[in-house]
Amino acid sequence: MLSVRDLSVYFSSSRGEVKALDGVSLDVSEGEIVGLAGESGCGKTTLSLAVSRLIYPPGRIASGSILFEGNDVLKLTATQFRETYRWKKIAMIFQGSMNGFTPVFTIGDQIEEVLEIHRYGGDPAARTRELLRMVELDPSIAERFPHELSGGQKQRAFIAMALAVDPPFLIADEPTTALDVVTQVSIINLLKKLRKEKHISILIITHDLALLSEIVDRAYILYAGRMAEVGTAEEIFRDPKHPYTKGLIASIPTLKSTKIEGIAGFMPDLANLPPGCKFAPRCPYAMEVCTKEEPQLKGVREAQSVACWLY
Amino acid sequence: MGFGRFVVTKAVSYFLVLMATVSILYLATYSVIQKVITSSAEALAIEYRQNLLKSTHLSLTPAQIQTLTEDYQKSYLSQFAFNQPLPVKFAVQIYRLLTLHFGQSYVLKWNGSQNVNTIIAGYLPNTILLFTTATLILIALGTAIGLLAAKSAGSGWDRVVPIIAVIHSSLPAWWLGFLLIAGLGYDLKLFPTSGITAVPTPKGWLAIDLGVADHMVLPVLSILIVGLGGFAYIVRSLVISTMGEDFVLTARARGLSESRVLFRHVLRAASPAITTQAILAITGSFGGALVTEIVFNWPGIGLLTYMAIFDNDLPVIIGIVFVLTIILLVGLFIGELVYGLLDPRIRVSGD
Amino acid sequence: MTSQTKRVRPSLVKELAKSKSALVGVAILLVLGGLTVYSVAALPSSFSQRWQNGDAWVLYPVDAPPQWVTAFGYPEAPTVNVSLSHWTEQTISVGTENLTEYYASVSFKWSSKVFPQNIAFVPVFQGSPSAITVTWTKPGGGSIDVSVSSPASGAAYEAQSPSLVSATTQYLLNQTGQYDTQPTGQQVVSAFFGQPGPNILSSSTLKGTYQASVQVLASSPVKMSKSLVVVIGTSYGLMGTDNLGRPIDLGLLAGLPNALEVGFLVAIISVIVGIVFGGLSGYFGAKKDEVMQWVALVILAMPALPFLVVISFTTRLNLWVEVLLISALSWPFYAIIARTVALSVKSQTFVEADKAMGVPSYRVFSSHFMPRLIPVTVAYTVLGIPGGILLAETLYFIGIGPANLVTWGGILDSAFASEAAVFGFWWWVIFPGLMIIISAIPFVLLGFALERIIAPRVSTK
Repeated sequence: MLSVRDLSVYFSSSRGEVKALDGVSLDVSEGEIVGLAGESGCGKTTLSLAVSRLIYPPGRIASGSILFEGNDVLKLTATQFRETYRWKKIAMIFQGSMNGFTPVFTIGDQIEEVLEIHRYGGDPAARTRELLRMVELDPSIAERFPHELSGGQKQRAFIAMALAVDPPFLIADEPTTALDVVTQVSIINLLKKLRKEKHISILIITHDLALLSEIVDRAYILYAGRMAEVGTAEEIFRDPKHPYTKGLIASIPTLKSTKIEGIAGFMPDLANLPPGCKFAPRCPYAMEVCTKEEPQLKGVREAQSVACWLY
Repeated sequence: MGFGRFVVTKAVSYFLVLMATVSILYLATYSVIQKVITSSAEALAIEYRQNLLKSTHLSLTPAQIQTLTEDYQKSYLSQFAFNQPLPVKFAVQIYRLLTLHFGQSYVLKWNGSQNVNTIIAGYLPNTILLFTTATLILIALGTAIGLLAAKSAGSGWDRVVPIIAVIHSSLPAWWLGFLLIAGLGYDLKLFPTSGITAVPTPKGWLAIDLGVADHMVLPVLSILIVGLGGFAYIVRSLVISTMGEDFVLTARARGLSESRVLFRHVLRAASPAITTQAILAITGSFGGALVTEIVFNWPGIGLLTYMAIFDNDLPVIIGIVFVLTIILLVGLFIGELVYGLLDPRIRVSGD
Repeated sequence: MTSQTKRVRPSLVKELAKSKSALVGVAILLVLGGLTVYSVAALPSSFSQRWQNGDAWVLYPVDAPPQWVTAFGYPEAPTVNVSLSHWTEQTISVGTENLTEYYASVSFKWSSKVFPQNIAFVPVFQGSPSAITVTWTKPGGGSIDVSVSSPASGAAYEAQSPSLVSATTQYLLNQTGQYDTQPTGQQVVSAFFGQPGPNILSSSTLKGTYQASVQVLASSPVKMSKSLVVVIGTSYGLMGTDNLGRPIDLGLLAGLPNALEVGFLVAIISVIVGIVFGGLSGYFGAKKDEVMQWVALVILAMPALPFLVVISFTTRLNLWVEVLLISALSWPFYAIIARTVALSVKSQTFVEADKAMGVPSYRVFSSHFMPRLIPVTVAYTVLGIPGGILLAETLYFIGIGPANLVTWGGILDSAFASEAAVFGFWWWVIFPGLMIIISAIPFVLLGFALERIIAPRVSTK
């Protein structure tokens, strides 16, 4: 369904070129839920925006291709892409979906606007009610303004809007951040239900590995704009290979362990990257080669690959 | 419910502002107001005495006329609590001022009447006409230019900013009026340069209205030139900062076209802030607009003020100050209501 | 956070120096400053009285455009001002009497085809000479002798003075052979500059070198000083003159110190009051903020112009009263800005943290709010100066202001009263207005450069 190949996205800034993404590849098959994880600022959101072609100056897609159902969407004109792909085929739920609704229009107005511009045939008001029911919201919410809803309600309403024209592919960027735990669980269950009932492919982007472990089929671990590790959920969470992935998993709080381990240090400045492995300065296993040459992704299991000199 | 409560709260608040402003004005002009009251009493008493003298059928003796006149004068003064203790006097006089009792002018007239209310009522509509027209054009054009400028945000605009700022903060609209009069009025003879209608007054309402519109061109133009850049710049900044908000990105992601995002979502979301700025800009440019009237001989409150200064006509000036305060506050109040209507967070209370 | 604000401050001047527009602003500011010093030093304190006195400007043309317009093809006669300073002295005997004769002579070139407005001779001396004779020699030789008996030092003998009129009558009689009426001032000027011959009064100007020789006869010693021969043309100086002959450039120079003073004072007072008020309002928040906002609205609702007019009737305005009044009406605009800044600071977590930790509120205000508010104060003070100047000049224009003050607004007021725009006396309108704008430019440029440097800091998170 979606195949990102060697994608690089650069932002020009006064400090030089910021390499937000550097040669990243990612695949999502039909009906699959894929996770993309990493610390804040590692480039996860940039990837999701690039897939929707929402990178604006000073950012630019420097190289690579994004194939959607086999077509390179980067080759389309902005209007073509907008009219045939956005929301129709690639819908998004945002990290800031609480602020994703325009504050001065009602929820219903905004969902109906989406239906209208994507030429939905039926009765838009009825469809809006149907969508709101689908995400387990009261249809009367259509008449409310965003500020009248709770964070969870807004997130659900936004998901309803995302489903408006039955997209085959959904990007969910931090869909549960800033929500309380109960709401988080219900949103996750909602996404699971959608996959099951509508057979939607979902790319979930998060810094929350606990969330990923619950829902995804496969996961990608991104560090400083580069893929660190790829694998099925089983492989990644049972037996992580990359020291960074290990660190991330160790930092998930569990009921059993009272001690939470973090990863020491900070992510390097993307405008001024060190040579070699970008994780080397923080890596407990760093060797000489790590600071000199950059490791490439290497298959270690059937579906698992890792970019680390240890393997 | 939300909006109704908002209106009531604001109305109470603005009424209190009115009381406070008027009290300050009253205290600051206390001595002038006393002078105005006594002189009005005298002027009216003289008029009264002359009427008595004319009414021969009453056959009053000079002594009777004298007493009647004095009584009349006293009763006028007592209406203003002139000889009452200070607190009573303040309360009564402020009440009389708020109910527009400004007395008689010294010199100025409107249709032969020296009643200050009549005079102000004669001049005020022209000011409202001129200023409202200029303001509406300013807001419409300024918003349009600001939006376009925000759309093509770049270094070019940043270079224009200082020029706009110089114009905005230092170019006197009335001086610009001079230049327009000399250039477009006298040299090119494109527009009339003085007054509000042609002399002699044309026949038929259409001809009169067109004539007024024609006379309005230059004064409106000078107010516009001074205010437009600054307002457009403010709109541009507001729009640019609104474009940085999350909902704009999500609107684009939904497949809305750029113009739909800009004109429907961004503009509508920025409109409450634009309203606030518009109110500030309008309040700020009001004084300049009044002086512009003088240059164009436009028979409005500004010109009336100028004539009153010339004739030392204190009652008229006092009347103008209080009437303008009331009008300004009504204008600000309307602005607040517009803001409330535009912002659903006020219109529909969250809880 | 405090370390960050401390770190950036010393670089302010450096950053300003990097901005081209700020440097231009500083350059213009230096010129304005120089002119202000010159104005205060060169113009006597009695200048404003002289400005109001119409008689003080007889040696200047009235309603005259700037002299440089001739360079653009407009035929205007220049104003020529020559002084007689080298006097020779000799004793002559007339009958039995011994008289002292003082003599001086000047010449100048005349190339304009336009007749001047007037001519004047101003003798300056100590003592009491019995007679002065001015011999006006035209190019080509013809001459007019003007005799003044018992002259007054410092008086201007111009075209309509009896001595010039009678000399001209004689001269015209010689030229035309039939002149019997008394010539008008303009005819006197025509006689002095016209082509000799019977048609002298309808002829064009005689171009070439003119000479004025002055002979002073005295029975007792006289001390002659610098005397003047003035050809009052139809154009004058850099910026022309008004209807009383007052040079616009002098008036603008005289108005400069007052304009800047009012601008500075108004900006400083209103910005400081506004920023402190708005800053505290935003800092307190909640009920106090509401009340303070309400107070600002009360002031905002006052119609500034008519209000100042009434006050001018109750109080004798002097500079300070005027400045305080304008400031009292302007500060709410700055309070609004400061409140926004304070609110944005307040929303930042470190402020909450400090408060939660029990840091005293004055410390919170001084360590978090002041560092943000001070740069804003500086920038808006600079930006507020033009506003102060503009409002003051507007008041002067409608005739509100301290008495006996030469102001740009006042000059524009007289231009308006004389319908200068109607008669096409553009110099009388354009230059004072330009001065208002030019005096604003450096502050706007500097203020914007400052704001641009400061703005990112204000919004740093």
